[in-house]
Amino acid sequence: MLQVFKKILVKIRELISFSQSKVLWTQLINLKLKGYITIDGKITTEGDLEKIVYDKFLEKKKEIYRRKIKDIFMSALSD
Amino acid sequence: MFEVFVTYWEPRKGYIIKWITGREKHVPSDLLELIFFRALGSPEHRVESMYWVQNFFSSSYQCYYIGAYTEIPIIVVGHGEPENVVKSIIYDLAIKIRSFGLDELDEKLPYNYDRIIRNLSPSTLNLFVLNNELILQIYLILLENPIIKYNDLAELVFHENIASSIKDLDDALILLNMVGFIRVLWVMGSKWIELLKVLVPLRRPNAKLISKNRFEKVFNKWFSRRNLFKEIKFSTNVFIDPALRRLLANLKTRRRISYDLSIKNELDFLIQANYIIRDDSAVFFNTEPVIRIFNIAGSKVWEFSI
Repeated sequence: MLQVFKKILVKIRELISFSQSKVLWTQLINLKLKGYITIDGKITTEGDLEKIVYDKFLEKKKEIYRRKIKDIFMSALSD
Repeated sequence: MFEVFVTYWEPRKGYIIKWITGREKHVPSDLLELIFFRALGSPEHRVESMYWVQNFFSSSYQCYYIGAYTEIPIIVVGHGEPENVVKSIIYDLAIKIRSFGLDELDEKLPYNYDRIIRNLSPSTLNLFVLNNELILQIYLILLENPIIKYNDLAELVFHENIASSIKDLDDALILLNMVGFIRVLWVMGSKWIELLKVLVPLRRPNAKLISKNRFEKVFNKWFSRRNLFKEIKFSTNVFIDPALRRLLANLKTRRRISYDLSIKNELDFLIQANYIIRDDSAVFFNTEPVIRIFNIAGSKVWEFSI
């Protein structure tokens, strides 16, 4: 999963280097809104960005785990 | 075989030893001087709690200095094997002493504590760890937040008044990590705690009797933190105390026995947990606890039953 996020990170770097492309404009605005990049298209800081991406990944994992735990309890009770 | 004792210094009497396990044995005063020197020798470290292994001639002693949380310096000492069992008992006692002090230790320790720790084995260690109320409450927070930043967990723990010091949280995490319930991750400078195992306390007979339309309601009530706390506390107690386990197994076979005053504490506990029911001078079997431990992926790794 970490590898996937690293690929995303590489992609984001690519997006920023082609910031004039109209196709990428929406994605860039999204990145700006999420605080990943500054108004002139620079990454806030490389380390921070990676941290933000990983934090998001762990938050997502937390949701998956929560569902799994509920499933474990439900199946144990109905077993 | 192992021994555990608590030692402290009283100005008029000198070193005092309070035995937690076994018969009282002679403890060399050289050893006591050595461990107190190690704990108090450096003034700048006197405030902090400290765990270390002290070699003394051909033996080694596991020591835990409580720190400046108590008025007098207190050290919990364990000697013997299995080492992780001794370590768990020492940490468990340290958390308890920090919570309510040495004076109230006898009063607050469960009546069957001696029996529980004498019969502890590596296979029941995880249940013993969760039987500690403070650790259990932290575990229940982790059940709701299976991956959480250490700082966020600390905030929750203090906000809910579960622990009085950060050392309690750290010790709880050390024990939960030792029995494989959690692991600690370092992600770009942040400490994260990840839950690895899920303990499910059940009763037999159980939900087979619940109708489908009532299941959701029954589940939500059962899955609540308050209920899980009670169920885990009761069920772990049965499986770490062989006397309770035997008594309940006996009742399950015989269905009914008379209320015997010589085992009053045990019977009262089982009545309080609703595993048995009292009717005048007799007690009847009601339900039995079952504990299932799953890994986070959902596969069962262990089951405890009568």
